[in-house]
Formats: sequence, structure tokens, C-alpha cells
Amino acid sequence: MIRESAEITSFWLKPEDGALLPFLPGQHVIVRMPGGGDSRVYSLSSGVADTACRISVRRDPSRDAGFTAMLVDRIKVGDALRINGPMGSFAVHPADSSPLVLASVGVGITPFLSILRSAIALRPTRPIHLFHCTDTPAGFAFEGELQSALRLLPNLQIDVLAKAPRCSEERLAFSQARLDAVRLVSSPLFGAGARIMLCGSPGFVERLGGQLRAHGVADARWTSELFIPAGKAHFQAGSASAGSFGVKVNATLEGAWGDASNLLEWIEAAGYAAPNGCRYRACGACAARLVAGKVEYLPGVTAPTDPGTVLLCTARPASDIELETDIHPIAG
Amino acid sequence: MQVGTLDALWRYPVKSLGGERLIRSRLDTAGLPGDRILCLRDEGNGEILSAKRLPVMLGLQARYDEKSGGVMIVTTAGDLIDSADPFASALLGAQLGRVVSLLPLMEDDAHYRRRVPLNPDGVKRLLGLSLQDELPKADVPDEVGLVLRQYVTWPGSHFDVAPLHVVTRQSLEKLAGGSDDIARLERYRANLVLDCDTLADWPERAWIGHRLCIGDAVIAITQATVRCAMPRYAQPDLPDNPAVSSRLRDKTGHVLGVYARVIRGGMLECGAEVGVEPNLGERRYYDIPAFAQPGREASAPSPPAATGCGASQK
Ligand SMILES: Cc1cc2nc3c(=O)[nH]c(=O)nc-3n(C[C@H](O)[C@H](O)[C@H](O)COP(=O)(O)OP(=O)(O)OC[C@H]3O[C@@H](n4cnc5c(N)ncnc54)[C@H](O)[C@@H]3O)c2cc1C
Ligand code: FES
Repeated sequence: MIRESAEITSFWLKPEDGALLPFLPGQHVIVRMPGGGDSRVYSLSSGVADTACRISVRRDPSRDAGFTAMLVDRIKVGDALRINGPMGSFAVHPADSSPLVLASVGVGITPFLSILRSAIALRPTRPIHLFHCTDTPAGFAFEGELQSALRLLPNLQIDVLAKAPRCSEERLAFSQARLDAVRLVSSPLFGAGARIMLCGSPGFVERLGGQLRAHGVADARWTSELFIPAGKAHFQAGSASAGSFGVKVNATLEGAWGDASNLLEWIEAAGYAAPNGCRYRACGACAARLVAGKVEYLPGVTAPTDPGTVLLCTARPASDIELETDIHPIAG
Repeated sequence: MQVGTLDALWRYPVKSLGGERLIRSRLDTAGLPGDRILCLRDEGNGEILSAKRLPVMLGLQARYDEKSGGVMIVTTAGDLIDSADPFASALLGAQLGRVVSLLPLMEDDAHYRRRVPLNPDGVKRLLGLSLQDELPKADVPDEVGLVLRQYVTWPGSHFDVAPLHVVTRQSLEKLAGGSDDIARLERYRANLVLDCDTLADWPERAWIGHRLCIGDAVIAITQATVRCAMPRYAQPDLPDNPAVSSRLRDKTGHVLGVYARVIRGGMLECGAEVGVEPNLGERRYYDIPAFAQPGREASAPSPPAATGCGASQK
């Protein structure tokens, strides 16, 4: 365990039962407390050549309860956590040399640390432009790690956008401006074909994503990861708008929508296992393809950008629907 | 007796991914070189993945390079994934939304096993039937059925049942009833498509138990192919089409095409003449694993593999 800043703590994890499966920088894992219990999603902040994997967790100092409080205050070196994954399509090939423009806020820098550490090991010439927003420019989390990345990656440029002033140092540029899409698309790397990656709180990502869209940046040129918090929102069982729709999955399972709280639970109630991770719309593990029909999401849940994708754990039908996903009978 | 010509030749380097069309190919006793040499294993349950479970697999296309022995996979966005890339599994996992490993054929029998053997309801679900439906009548020998319920692919291979899958143009056209989309070859994932001179319906059914000579190669037709829901699913340039499944049910009883094993290898080339040779007594069509041979009880499969990594450390 390493204290990165007043709020952020890193955990180095070593597999107990064999090697960690290979992952791509940018991907995340699902972390479960010892003895089952709650789980949350964390991006891997280590590089693909590191011998252990790292997650870096922000603990809200104003709260004494919650998952992060448990993790940071209670977990000791040597304790066993259950990890699922790695997963996610917010990822890059670690040895690729295609240019990248990265934008993060706060702890949202974690997947980008993985990208930088992997580039140091496998592709030090990769052109990368990182925009990072922080409240506290003096001694912000991972400053030392970014400084050494600047030494080891000749084509890395870092712009830190902070609320308080600080002098720039060579290639670590500070400014008090607010990050917007104009800055991202003005990066010379974007002109050279770079893909833009956004990561952090939903507010930050949705604001920049909206601006990129308004700028006419094609969907293929940018991707995003939202650090969605765990919510306890559920559809009210049997609530009127659910209607009596027909649901069909993979031509294997067919039935009427009853009063399940979401599609994942409906499939499970029918005797099938479907992939899932967080069950609160954060990890993407339950993604299914919408072949026909419409779905709606829990109040307050962000629908996935791709209308052909349904996150089963937080969606329910809004018409007769047909889905494709990886389901199999729980027994037999 | 000549029955037609070899019309198209396909191989599928990775089980359940899209394949590639060939003009000519060698045929070995193990099948077409480069066919189903790799598979994807779901690290969630340790089982070989099939598009029966995960239809999006059909959106990826695999090509085999005979010189290097490597496989190149084309994603839906047109990116290339090289099977030799140390990150190939992770890249494919990100494409499919699963934790997967890209694996070659393995010595270990457990590689091919289902974690939970199928019961008759499980077979129906896998085939996309409802539980009230009858199982298709395909005359599958008991011991073959036993193997198929215990294994995802035929043990020791990444083939469902046999190294070759054969259909005729005539059967596809009869099935399609004028629909070009239903007739598309890609949907049926055959290795050999034959163009027959006969007027008979479903000509390949008459060949079960007999041999076909294609050029200097000889294959034995072992059994009819039972169809699951896979042919209807979307592929690059092909939409999901439920009518494929309903036509398969209504016109064929979910039985279309035949499996074959290779008696003698040789060179196959599109346009080659195909002859039927009546069976002359040899009936050893399958390599039945010991456990499934008549008179033996099926052994219980090993429990599911645990997933993920464990303990936290400094
Ligand atoms: C793909 C992905 C990657 C992620 N990667 C990281 C990462 O690398 N590092 C990281 O730190 N986080 C990451 N997260 C976020 C992480 O999953 C958790 O959401 C985060 O750690 C908060 O957990 P928590 O237990 O503190 O809050 P929770 O207990 O889950 O609470 C959720 C939210 O509700 C609020 N809340 C709940 N109860 C109360 C209350 N009683 N009073 C006031 N507020 C309340 C909290 O402020 C919080 O915002 C990631 C999320 C996703 C989806
Ligand atoms: S289970 Fe994680 S998004 Fe649905």
C-alpha cells in the first residue's frame, strides 16, 4: 500500500493462484472485499510489464463509511481481495506507436498511468499528450511518477490544469485554465491522427464528450471511461411503465417481462447465467446487443453511447425486445 | 458415380469466428490445414467459447497464413489482431467484452470439456429450441451423443463433431426458397459446398454412410448436421435473420448438411468433380473416447476453474 496523496492510496496486488491474465492499459478490474460482500470497479494503474498489478483508490476524506473507507482504513498488507477481470474496451495496445491525446481529472488519471508505464517498457517513442486536471497543483498525486515518465518518454507532453497557480517546469506545464474540447483538438497530436481518451467523474467526461460532439469530432476519434459511483437505484418492482413486453435472448430464451427489477435479474430468474460484474452500470461486463426493440435505464443511469448496446444490469424493456448475449443454463 | 462438383471451399482458423474462402487447399486426414487450429477460452468458466453462446464472435474474421502458420483476426472496425501478438488474448477480450484466452489445440482432455454436461433440456436450449420442441431426428449414435453432451468440441479437436462439414447448393437453395440472404454460404459455416446434378431434395442425406471422392481425396460421410441458432446471427455484411431459424425448423427439422471425416487426403480445388462411392463395409466413423464407448459410465467432469487473482500485497 502506498500513500500517493492526502486522498489517494495505491494497492499493489499479487495473484494468489497463478499469473494475472494479460491486460491492456486502460482496462479495469472488479475488486471484492475479503469474504465476499461489496465490490467496486477500479482501473489498473500499473503497466503491462510490472510484475504485480496496481489499483489507486481515492477515499473521500469527508466520509467514514463506504467501500473506499473500508479498503483504505481496514485492508492490511497480506489480506486477500477477490479480483475479477481485467475487462473493458477503454484500452490501447501497449506496444502500438499510434499517438494519443489523454484527458483526466483527479483519480481519473489511473488508466493513463498504465498507458504511460506500459509505453516506458514497450514503446518509449509513442507520442502522448496528457491533459490532467487537479484541484491541488502543489504535490498532486502521481507527480513524481509523471516526472519520471517525462524523463523516459521523449514524445510525452503533460499539461496540468489546476485551480491554484504554480510555475511550469520544462515539460510539465501548469495553467489555471479550464479544460475544454478546443484545447484537446488543438493538440498537434490530434492533428496527426491521435485518438482522444477521456477519463474521470461522469460530470467531467460528459461535459468534454458533449463539446467534442458539438465540435464534430467523429465517434471513432474519441472514447471515454466514466468513473460511475455505485448507486442503489432500482426499478420499483411491478411499476406501471414496465408493461407486459416480450423478451427474447439469443433465440434460446423467450418469455414475458414480469416485474423483475432489471434484465439481468430477469435472465437469472429464468434459470440462465449471464455475464455480469458490478451490477450497477459501471463495468460493462453485462453488455448485450440489442437486436430489436427499445430499452430504458434506471433513473439517473447514463445510457451507453452505442444505442446497439444494452447494459442488462440497469436496463429494462420499453417495448418487445430481442437481445444477443452470452447466456447459458445455470444447471444442465 | 459422379454427382456434382466442388463449388466452394472454406476454412475457419479460429473456432466460431468468421472464416475465409479458398480456391484450392490440401486436405489432410485431420482436415483442411489451418482449420479450427485455435479457439477462445472463456476465463470466467474455463470453457471453450462458441458463437452458440456468444454470437458477436461471428463479427470477427480469421485468416490463416500457411507460410508462418499464424492467424490474423480482423475486427469489426477493421483492425488487425495477430495471433502471435502477446496481447492477442487481451485485445480479443476487449472486443468481445469477456476475459478470454486464444489457445491452440491442447493435450489435456479438460480443455475440451463442458463444465456442466448438457441434459436433454440443455441440448434443446443450445439448439435454440423451446423445451416443448422435440429434439431433431438426426440419427446420432448414442455414444456420439454422450460425447457431445460432455464436450464443447470433439475431444482433441476444435471441431464440433468431425473435421469436415459438407452442404450442397441445392439444399441451401431449397431452404432459402428464393431468399438470397437465407442462401448465403457464410451462415452455414461449411468447409465444402457441392453443386449437385441431382433433382432429389437434400441430396447429401443420401450419402450418409458412404464415401465421396473429390479429385484424389476420399471422405466418408458420417452423419447429418444438427442445426442450432447460429446460422441466423449477424455477420459482417449479413443481418441477424430470424427467418433462417424458422425455415430451418419448418423445412429441415433443424437438420441440414452432413459431417465427414477424411479417409485419404489430397488436393482440393473448386470445380473438381465429386463422385459417390458406396460403402464397402468400413464403418469406423468416429474416434470415440474411452469413457463414451458402449458399456462404460460417463465420468464426472472436473469442477469449474476458479477465476481471477487473489491477495493484496505491499
Ligand atoms: C470503470 C471505472 C473505473 C474506476 N476506477 C477508479 C480508480 O482507478 N480509482 C478510484 O478511486 N475510483 C475508481 N472508480 C470509482 C470506484 O468504482 C468507486 O465508485 C469509488 O471508489 C467510490 O467508492 P466509495 O465506496 O467511496 O463510494 P460508495 O460507497 O460507492 O458511494 C458512491 C457515491 O455515493 C456518495 N455517497 C454514498 N453514501 C453517501 C452518504 N451517506 N453521504 C454522502 N455521500 C454518499 C459517495 O460520495 C460516492 O460518490 C472507477 C469506477 C469505474 C466505473
Ligand atoms: S454488471 Fe457492470 S455494467 Fe452491468
